Amino acid sequence: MENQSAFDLNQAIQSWRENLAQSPAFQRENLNELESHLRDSIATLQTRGLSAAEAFLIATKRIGSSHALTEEFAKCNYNNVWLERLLWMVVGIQVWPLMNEVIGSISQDLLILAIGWSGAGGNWHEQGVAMPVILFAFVRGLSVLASAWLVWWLIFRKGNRLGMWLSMRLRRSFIGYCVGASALFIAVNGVIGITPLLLRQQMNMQTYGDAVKYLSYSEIIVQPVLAIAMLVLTLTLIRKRASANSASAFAR
Amino acid sequence: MLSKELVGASTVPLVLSVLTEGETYGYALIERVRELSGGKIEWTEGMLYPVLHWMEKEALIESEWREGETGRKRKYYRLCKEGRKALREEQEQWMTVHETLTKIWKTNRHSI
Repeated sequence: MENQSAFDLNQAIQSWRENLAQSPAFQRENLNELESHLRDSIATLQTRGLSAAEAFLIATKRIGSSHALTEEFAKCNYNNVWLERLLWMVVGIQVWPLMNEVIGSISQDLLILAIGWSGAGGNWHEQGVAMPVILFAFVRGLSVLASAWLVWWLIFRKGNRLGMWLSMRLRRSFIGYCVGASALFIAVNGVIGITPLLLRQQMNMQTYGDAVKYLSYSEIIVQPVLAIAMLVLTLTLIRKRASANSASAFAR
Repeated sequence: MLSKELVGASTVPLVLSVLTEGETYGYALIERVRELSGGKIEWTEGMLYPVLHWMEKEALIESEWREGETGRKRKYYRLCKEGRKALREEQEQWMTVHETLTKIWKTNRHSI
């Protein structure tokens, strides 16, 4: 094991283990036991004259593919698998409204500002509420789409890195992380709460009142669209999962 | 080579039987089964551990981490009272199948 050849056995075992450790199906003790097995297997193969690299290759093949191992251990450690899922649900529940609030309130404030500056509020008021309501609904809709995309990108594209970063932080200082996260949430929500007040001070009362009225009317359009969009998203995910399941059943 | 179904059905009685020889750890258990079967029973080795953990949960066996002769820690399994009881039941069932098949094959030796 001490020989410094091109193949570093300990390094290879370590990365084999880390690959498995990414799944919640394995507890630390399971990995210790599997590693112990792998080392025994490699040692036996080496006494039969195989090189470290050859022994590692055969031993990992005999112990089973990471896919097969994950599947079997997941049946045992069902709680862990569910805890991991629950964690991601909670992350989603926190990230989605935060993004939605931030992007939504920025776009709303900008709209109110724009109407205030252009003085258009007055004119539109005379022509009826349809146009500004549609404009507000359109911008609100766009902001919902943008936040949905951002959450998707954060969780699905950056989810692994985010999860690793999060668990590293949590391991270092649980209290510190909790305080930091709460402070962030309070700060963001505080800013979101204060901006309408600031805007109201800056603007003509009549224009601001109109803008807020258009905004609440536009919600009548936005909320049902949002509900339908969520339903479609749920159904798409169910369908995707169903086809993924049948594909893996077929492969077996 | 045994079929997948037979490997699945025989894992628990094999583990229980090997453990009657004394406590042992996963790798040695697999090696023992390989040796006894003349290499005809080949497990995907990692798959044994979920079975061992299930058997431990059912109180058929118990385990303990201990340093072996190489100085490395290993998880040793040993048989419990419930395990011996389960093994007796398994033994009865497997012997029934074995005796039945043997009888038929003896009398019909030429028709197979």
